[in-house]
Amino acid sequence: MFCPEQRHSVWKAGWRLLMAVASLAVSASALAQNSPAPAKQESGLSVTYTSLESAKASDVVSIPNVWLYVPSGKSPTPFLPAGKFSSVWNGSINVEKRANYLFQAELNGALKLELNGKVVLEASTNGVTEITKPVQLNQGANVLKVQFASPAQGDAFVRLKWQPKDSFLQPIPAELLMPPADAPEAASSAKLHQGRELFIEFRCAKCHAGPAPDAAIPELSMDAPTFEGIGARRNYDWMARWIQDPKSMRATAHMPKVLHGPKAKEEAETIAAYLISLKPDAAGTKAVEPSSELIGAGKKLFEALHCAACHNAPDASENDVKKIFLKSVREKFVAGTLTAFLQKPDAHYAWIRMPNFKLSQSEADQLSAYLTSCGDKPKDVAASADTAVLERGKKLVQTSGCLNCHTLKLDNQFSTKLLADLAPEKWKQGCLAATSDDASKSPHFNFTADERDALQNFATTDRASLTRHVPAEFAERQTRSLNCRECHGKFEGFPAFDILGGKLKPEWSKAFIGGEIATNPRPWLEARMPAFSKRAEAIAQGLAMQHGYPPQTPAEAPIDQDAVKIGQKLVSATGGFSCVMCHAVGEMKATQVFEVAGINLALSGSRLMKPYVHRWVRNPQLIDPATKMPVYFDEEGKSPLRDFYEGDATKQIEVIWQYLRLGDKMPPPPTQ
Amino acid sequence: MHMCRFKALNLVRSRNFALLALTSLILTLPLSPAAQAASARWKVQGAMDQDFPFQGACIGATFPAGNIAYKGLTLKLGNEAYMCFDTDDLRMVAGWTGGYLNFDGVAYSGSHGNHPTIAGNQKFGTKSMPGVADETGSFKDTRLEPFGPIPAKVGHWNGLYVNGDDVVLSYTVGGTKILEMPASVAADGQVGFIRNFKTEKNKTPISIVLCEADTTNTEISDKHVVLHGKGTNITIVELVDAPRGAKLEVIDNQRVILKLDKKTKASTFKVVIWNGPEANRVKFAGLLAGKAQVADIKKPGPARWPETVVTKVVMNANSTPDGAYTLDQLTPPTENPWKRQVRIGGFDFFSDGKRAAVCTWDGDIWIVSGLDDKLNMLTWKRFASGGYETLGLKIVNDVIYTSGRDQITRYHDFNNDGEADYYENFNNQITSSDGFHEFVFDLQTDSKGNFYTAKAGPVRGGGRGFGGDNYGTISEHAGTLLKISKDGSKLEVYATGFRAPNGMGMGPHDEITTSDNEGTWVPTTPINWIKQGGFYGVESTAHHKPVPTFEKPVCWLSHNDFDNSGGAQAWVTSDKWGPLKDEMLHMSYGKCTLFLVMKETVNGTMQGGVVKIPVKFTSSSMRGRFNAKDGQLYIGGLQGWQTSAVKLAGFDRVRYTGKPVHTVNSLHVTKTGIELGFTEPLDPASANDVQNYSGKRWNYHRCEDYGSPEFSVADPSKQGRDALTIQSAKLSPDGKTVTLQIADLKPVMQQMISFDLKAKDGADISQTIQHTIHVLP
Repeated sequence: MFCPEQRHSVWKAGWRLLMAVASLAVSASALAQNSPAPAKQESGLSVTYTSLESAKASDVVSIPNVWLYVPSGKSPTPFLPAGKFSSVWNGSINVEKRANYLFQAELNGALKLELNGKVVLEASTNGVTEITKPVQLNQGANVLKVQFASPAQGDAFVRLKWQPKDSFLQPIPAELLMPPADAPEAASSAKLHQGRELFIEFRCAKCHAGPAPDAAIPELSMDAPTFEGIGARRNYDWMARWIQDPKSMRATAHMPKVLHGPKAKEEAETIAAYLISLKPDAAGTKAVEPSSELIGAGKKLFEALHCAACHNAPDASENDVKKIFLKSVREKFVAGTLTAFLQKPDAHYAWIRMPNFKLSQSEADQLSAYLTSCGDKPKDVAASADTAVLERGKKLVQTSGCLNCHTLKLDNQFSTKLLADLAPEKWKQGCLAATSDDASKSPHFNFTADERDALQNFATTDRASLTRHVPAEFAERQTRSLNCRECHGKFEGFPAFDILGGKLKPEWSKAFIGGEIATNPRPWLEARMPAFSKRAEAIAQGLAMQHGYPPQTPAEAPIDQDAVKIGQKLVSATGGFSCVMCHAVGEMKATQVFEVAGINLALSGSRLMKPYVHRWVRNPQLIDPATKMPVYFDEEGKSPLRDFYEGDATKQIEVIWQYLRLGDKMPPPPTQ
Repeated sequence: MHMCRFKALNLVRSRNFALLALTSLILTLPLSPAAQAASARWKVQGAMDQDFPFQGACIGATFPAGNIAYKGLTLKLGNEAYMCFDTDDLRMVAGWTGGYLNFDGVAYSGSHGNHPTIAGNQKFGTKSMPGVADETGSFKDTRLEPFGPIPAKVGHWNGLYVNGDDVVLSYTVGGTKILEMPASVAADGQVGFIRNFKTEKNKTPISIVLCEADTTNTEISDKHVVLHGKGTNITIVELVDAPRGAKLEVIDNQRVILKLDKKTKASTFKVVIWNGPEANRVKFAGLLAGKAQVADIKKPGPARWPETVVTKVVMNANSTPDGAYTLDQLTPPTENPWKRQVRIGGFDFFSDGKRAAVCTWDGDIWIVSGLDDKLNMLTWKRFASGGYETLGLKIVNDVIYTSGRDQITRYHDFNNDGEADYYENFNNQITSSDGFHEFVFDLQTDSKGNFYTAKAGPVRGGGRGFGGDNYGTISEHAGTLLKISKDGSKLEVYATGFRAPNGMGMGPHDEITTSDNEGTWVPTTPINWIKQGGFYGVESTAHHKPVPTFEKPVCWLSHNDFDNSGGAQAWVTSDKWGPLKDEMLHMSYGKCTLFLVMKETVNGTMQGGVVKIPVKFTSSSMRGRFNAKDGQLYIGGLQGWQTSAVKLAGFDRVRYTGKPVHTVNSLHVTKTGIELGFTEPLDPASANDVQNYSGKRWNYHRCEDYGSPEFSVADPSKQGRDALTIQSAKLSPDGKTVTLQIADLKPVMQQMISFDLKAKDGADISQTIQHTIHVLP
């Protein structure tokens, strides 16, 4: 359910993790006007993975940085078998003016870094390399090439850092990294990724059975709305029209047009009549006429929760085809049932993209009142109750393939070829025929030529990629599909999306994305993070791995209690950095919040990765230029508080970290 | 590492000196018997020791409804009794016993939105109104708003005398001078409030509000009034030792008034006020003992703070990379016997140049001596206390003046014991509401002797939007720059439209500047070049309708990387401070940095930019002055609201060492680019290489929002900075000017140029400038 536009741009770039807010914010066309600056291209690097186990297996994708994490025995990308591999990053670092930089990598494996054709770092280790000698980079693009080979033992990983003048070792800002101008292999790889994603998203394997569920990637199990009790939830007229031609009602619909030919309309109505008859005994909720106050409150909530990130409002005059138009909510949902849907969107469709906002009853009532206050009214068309019609509808459901995606306790009489039996040349007919043929039984997906080409390219692979779950790749696809960046990085107060993988502990991230964290870290935001429970774990792990971190936070040494005491002092307003002015610490409220509150420090230990805390505290504005948090440490890494560790920034931040690790057991900082 | 040579040296130095600082002496002498006696009267109150008989602050009383002392002086009377006097209204606002004050508000608890309130059990109060009547006996408030002093011909606040633990209030009513010494009396378990009056023979009748109650019944005689309220408590007021012509009256059936007939003879008498259960009425007589007395204002008491605090100077704590400027830390008396916080709000030098007076946000004045050539040990002597958020100080003819939220105060030390005896109201015409954000910043004088100070406007607690229920009122002087005549008689609004102008500058030719703090109508930090009558942007404090045309600043500074909260400006008036004579410097409170301002006039428009002078201050960089004696720059600052400063106070000297200064020091916009002038000749190879320069530019939106994001110049609807295309760099034959050709140069609110160059002598010059282009030549 994503738009054609997205598909194109994304496929071209391949596996693009960081197609960045920056690129969305400053579109090339916008900059072209009167601007002396060259048009911005999308940042990132091209990386080529080559299997060292199986000849010829390679894959080219675009990733944000020289970051990678591949657990031992796993594949770096779905198109490579597990086992030893190499990866080569190509692209450039763009710097503003000529200056010297230092480089260092953390890795397990072997690494060679070349800049402008010169090898500046070469190391084979499981740990941290030495810091390079100063490397002069020229103004503008500097050619970067990094070669990496996975280690004989253990998880493969690499995290490259640099140190600009008057700063400290840190990741190279993603926006300074640019892929090479032309990479022909990237285009063909991108085609394969596109084909695979279409195969997954359009549920191809539901009819053309592929790998066994326990061997397959999780998304091959993605479902569709269940038919059980659907008659109590959907209106007949809407359903009949939807079955007849889903894309005519929503351009981004994944459901194909199953029925065609002269009888299509009548058959759709017949199926709809049968489905409508599927009602639990106690079906039927009384619809209450909503008050204008309720509708108004719902509209406000709609805005506060940023529903418009994915939806066109029901009263919107413009219809953004990338979004789901809510104009048809009223004709779709049986009156009175929208509230229940809003409160638990995945109740009847586990992999639905709509997340759970944990709406209270009154919030759901408000939203429901607003969403049904305008838009199209359901047509007053009654479904046939004729037994013969219902029987025929039932038969059609059993024989048309509906039950391959939609569950119902009913015998499925539809069958078709297994994936294994679909040789590549078969991928030019049936569902993928260039022209829709009303005489054919195949469903019409209305794929574009480009999409068909991508699927046909995918067909030529061994399709083992459908058995290789690579969390980093999963996270990239799914977060794009779920529109995470429509809020993160767009709205004030939301953390930028592209830093999350190097910031949040995957365990916390999983719980937060899954809706299992009761404490809202940013209670001042009107919006709230909704739950994507089905995808939470793989996204959380994948984001960390994209940034070169393991899917589980590595164990740390026990908390240093002596350090905690100093950390406590440093957080205080009496001889410390006065963190408590803006940050609450557990039950102790922030003392002097003016412009913006900070997040309760008692949450930090479980939320944040240690390296991130060090980078953030050292210079928060390098991570978020708009943050109100001051920069306390100077360019030499000295603290203004010289009485602790002679002002050594790293040591001071480390004891603060030891204190933060206590989490909700943090004793409050001293106040006198 | 690519650290330059000078920096490496500094690192070593600062380490050594950090160790020295650890072991630095903070010497104090034992408390003198006199001081012990003085402090014995009161208990220590909270973290901030309150050892002084009065404190200026806005005070909320419990009753009557809406009773606030906008310019309150809370007086400690002993017997755990307190009274609060409002110097705007000349009104005794309330009397209470038990707890002193709830020290809420930004200057005390840091809270953004409140002010202190009465902590104890309030015994009497008066409604918000003038505390004295005009000659017709009318208490009618003729002010347009309840802020600022009542008309001087009705009543005028003269100031107060401190004599030991006694405070004598001095005011004039209808031309007659009145001295009043508030006090308390305790007997038989009862506490009475005493107002001792010393009056001259009055030319016109005088009426003074004493107290009021929701009365159901009153018993009235000339000398004795009993107010019966709805509860069981009664209030008794008695006039003692009164001259003929003095009497009590009750007006509006609830308010007790002291009346003096015209030409009542000069006399000393008192009023005793008591509130308690009717059952204890008989005990009231016990509170009347003793004669009325007002301390002799001509014979000040013994010094309260004879002891001094000695602090060690840390020389060369850090330097600029070229070693030309070094910073000496003049350690403030943070550790002191009175547990006073020393948040430096202003300072100035005495004529000998060896001593300076330093005022604090906490209301104290300290006199520091030892600013001689050796600058080894500093001696800090506490000179005054109790001020209402004093954030500006100026010395004129060796007399100290401070600006506080209530007034400009002139201090007199009659007996030369190093402590102020008379806190004279030099001018209190400034308005002050109960908003927490009504700071009165800085105090400067022009060449004619007129004074200037800058007043902030109230804001909401969240910092977004103005006004609101608990954050004060846009009163007449909110967000204005004020000029006070040399003799203190007249105050006028000089410029309007400020939000939080934390500091000013006064140039050698009376050039006036201010800065401001990002917020409503202030997209980011400006350096304002002030013209009389000018409007500087904050529409809520424009004080004109329609809102006048906005006077653009010399330049904007980005709040992210240059200055999120401006401080004062200082002009280099010294010949001993290197090659920067006659230039203007700007201080950033928020980022604790010092900038050289490079300005030019293009077609009549002042514009320019800044470059950092990278010394590191002990606390914020908020106030600065050159000491005429040693010719060096002194910087004082505090940590009080959002800043990267971590120390409550800093007092530093930025000293020129005599080494060559390596910096850009001028900036001119041409039709096609900019010209950068340098203090030292540059290495042509590095200066002519365009790869060594980079630039960006962006705009801000000036609107009611709190501050502004940065917006692309090419596409104003997008946030972010545009890269600048610097096409060429050309060094002049003398090696001191670089001309940069910039593609598509145009007026822009913020342009930033960075360069990594080498001087001819090999020194690194890595700098970044930010500037504003209003017009191209």
